Amino acid sequence: MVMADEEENGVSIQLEFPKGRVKKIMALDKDVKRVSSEALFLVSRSTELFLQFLAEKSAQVAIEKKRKTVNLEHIRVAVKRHQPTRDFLLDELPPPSQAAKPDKPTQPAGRPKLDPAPRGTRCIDQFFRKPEPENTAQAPGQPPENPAQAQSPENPDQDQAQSPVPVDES
Amino acid sequence: METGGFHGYRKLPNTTAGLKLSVSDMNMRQQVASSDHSAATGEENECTVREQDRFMPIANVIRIMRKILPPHAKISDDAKETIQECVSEYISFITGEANERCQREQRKTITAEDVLWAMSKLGFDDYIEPLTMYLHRYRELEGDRTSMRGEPLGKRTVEYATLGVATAFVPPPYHHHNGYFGAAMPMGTYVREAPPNTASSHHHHHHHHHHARGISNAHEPNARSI
Repeated sequence: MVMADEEENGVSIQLEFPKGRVKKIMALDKDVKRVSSEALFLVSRSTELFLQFLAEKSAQVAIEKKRKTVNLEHIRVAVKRHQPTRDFLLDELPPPSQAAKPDKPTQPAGRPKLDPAPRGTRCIDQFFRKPEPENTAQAPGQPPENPAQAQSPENPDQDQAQSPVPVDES
Repeated sequence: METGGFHGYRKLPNTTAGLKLSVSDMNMRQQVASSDHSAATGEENECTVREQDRFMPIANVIRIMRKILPPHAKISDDAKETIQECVSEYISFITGEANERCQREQRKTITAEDVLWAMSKLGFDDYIEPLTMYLHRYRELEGDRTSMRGEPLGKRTVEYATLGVATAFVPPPYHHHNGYFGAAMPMGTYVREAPPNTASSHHHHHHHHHHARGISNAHEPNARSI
């Protein structure tokens, strides 16, 4: 019905994500009281843009590694290359060569994680040994006032792997 | 596939009272087992949230990704799950920042301006221009709907009925906000004075709250009330 209604008006504001689901996810934060329909529309649309960005970058990483299947490692690399995204997502991603940690609230027990293959580690090494010229093409984002960049000591691989990343300078 | 999302919509046209419920009340109604529960805690709500409601439907996620990925590309199962979680995390991230600004200015409703501000602060400046364009189109569409609703100059009940019919998927309280923006009020000076809301889970009290807000809205310079 939503699509039919939009077609009648001839205005292309078709949403790919169901608003009800976006509303529920927003309401998971108990501090959120009310959301205007315009705000809900903007969050839905921006989520689509974010997903498109994530798919595009993950596909680029997969192509660089001569893969036809986008996997977890490609997503992690894509997240690391974009400062605003890594600020809030890197800690949420499963660490390389480890199973899902039980203390992560975003990983319900009903969704067991697949163990990444050992070659995933090699992919990370290969990436960091070769500086990517695309990093300079990335649009620099504003640094958050309170950046949550403190890394968990339980991820020594991530701490070690992030030190040579030149993305922070762009 | 999209049953979860559609399920949320299906409940709206069933009752008039349902159309007037705010987002939090609708969610509390769906999540709390006992409707007489006077004070449901956030933790209790979180416990009752179904897992499928915490993520975007995987079919929608994959369909959008297909448009971006090369034709021959495939997506592993763990990548699909991770993308689902990334998307939910993004929504919570933006929502938290927008709500922080909303509360700092002592408002209770997150507005489009709050969302755009959150984009800028969190580093997603590239999204502001396309989102602003989409918002203009969205308001144009709402403006057309508002003009259609403005024709019947009758009792408030008639207006509510028209609202329900014209916008089956958007509760009327949100259109009040759209009316404010439609009236071209400066976004920076948008101030809404709502009566103090206590024990919102009580249906009777909530109804009274909405009634009072309706009266206050009638006095506001609103194109719909003319």
